[in-house]
Amino acid sequence: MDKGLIGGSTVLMLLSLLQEKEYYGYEIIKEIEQRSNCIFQFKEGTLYPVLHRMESQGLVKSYKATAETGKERKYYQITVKGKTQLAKEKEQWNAFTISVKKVLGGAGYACP
Amino acid sequence: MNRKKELIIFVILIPLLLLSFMRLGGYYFSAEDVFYACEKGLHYGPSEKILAEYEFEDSGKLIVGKWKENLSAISVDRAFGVLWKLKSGGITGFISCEKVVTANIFRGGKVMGLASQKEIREVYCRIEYGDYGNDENPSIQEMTMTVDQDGFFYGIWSTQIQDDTFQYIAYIEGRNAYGEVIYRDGMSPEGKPYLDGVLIENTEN
Amino acid sequence: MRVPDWEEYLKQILSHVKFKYDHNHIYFELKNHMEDRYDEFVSEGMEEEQARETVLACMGDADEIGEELNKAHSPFLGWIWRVLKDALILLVILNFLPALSLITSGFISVFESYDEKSDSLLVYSIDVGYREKIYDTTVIIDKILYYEDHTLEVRYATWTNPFSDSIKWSSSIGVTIYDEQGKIQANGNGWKSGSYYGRGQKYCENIPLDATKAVISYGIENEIPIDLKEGRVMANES
Repeated sequence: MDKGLIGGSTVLMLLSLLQEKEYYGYEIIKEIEQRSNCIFQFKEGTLYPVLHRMESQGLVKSYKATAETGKERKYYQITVKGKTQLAKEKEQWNAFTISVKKVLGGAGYACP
Repeated sequence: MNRKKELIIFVILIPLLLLSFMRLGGYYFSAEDVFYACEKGLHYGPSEKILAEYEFEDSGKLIVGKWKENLSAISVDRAFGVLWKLKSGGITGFISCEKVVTANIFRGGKVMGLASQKEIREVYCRIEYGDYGNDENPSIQEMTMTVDQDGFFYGIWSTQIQDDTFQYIAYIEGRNAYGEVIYRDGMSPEGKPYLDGVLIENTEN
Repeated sequence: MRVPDWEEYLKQILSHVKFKYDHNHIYFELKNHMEDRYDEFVSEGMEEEQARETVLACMGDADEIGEELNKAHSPFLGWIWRVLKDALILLVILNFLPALSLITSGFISVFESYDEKSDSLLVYSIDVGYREKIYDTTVIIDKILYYEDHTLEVRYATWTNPFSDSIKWSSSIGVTIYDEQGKIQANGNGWKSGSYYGRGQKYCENIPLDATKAVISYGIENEIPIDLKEGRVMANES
């Protein structure tokens, strides 16, 4: 997968990660790489416009702190509004994947 | 602290700081505001009416008001382009006008005053001026001014006057609508002394 | 480890971001990320120059990133915030000197005191305690003192709120003394300080012991009459 990190499911993944722990940008990239077994590999710079937009929307907050490496980095943490958004997007995502599975499974339903 | 919260703080603080700066520095939004603020600071006023405003050559203007049959003259000037303040170089403030016709000379060759009798429609002045030390033979300048409905009159008698010359109004006549002299004050051309309309009996001293 | 040079790349990204205030933040966040990635490559054995170029490749297209960042960084609110913050800073600076002068004058006022007249003995004093607001100024007539050398002294103070809308001066009082027959004397000499809070003293000479009234004037046509016969505390009584 060589796409730029500019898509709807990106926000869902970022919010989910940040709900577990507070990360700075580089850590996020490493974590996604690890968890997805390197299936998700993308242009790293494209992470930041997404994070910044999420911050201006109030989904995350940033602050400066010293990382384990000893250097100062900009950490992101999820906000209450972000948690609400995460729950909503998870629900949408789950509904989406269930529908896809059903289509693949062949069952028939009439459209409303 | 996010930007939205900071914005609210800015919106509250900015008017407060603006007010503080203006009040502490003596800046106002209009020339008339300076005028009334100055009267208040000198503990008189406020003028019931602003009679006239005269622009200065350099910048700013002179505002003349009327308070209890007296004059109030204050010079204002622009500040920071959009604000106003008191013009530097001194203000006149309260001008007592106790005579029937009171006339005063001001810097810049201006004469102005108040006539308290409604019948007086015109004021004539004889101004004497000259160098100090040469006051035996002063130069003479005559002028006539119209009195408006508030009793106010104004004129410029000279634009070339030096600062170190003496100048005073030696004689005033108040004339009615027909040009007849109904009031005199000072030394008349015939050499008769008057004081606020009354001929002073001859007592040569 | 030598710090690698990605200035051109970063500048190219920033050239798309119109909201200049955030340039610094973006610059350092991206640069730090790239340094972390670079350190990882080098510690895995990659050559410095190759690591530098690989990091660039990993980051992505500068123009694309720049455009996306610009979209995330030019909200209407951001501009308003910037303009208002500049206005606030300007106003704080403009207020600095006036505030300093205000504090200084307040300081001086606190430590000011009346002069004690020492060249003549006190005959009587009157605790006037008069207090009235004349236009924007509260005038306080504290005491009147009369001395053997026929000097009458008035001690007073004035207070004007620095934030009121009048123009501030330090104005002194005028004093006219009367006796049974009428006016004896107008004015005298003295001092007055402070355009906000300030004390003042006025001395009138050649005043008889039996003067009946003192009229204090402040500004134009504002008069405070003070009875000089009442409330006298004779000096030799205390």
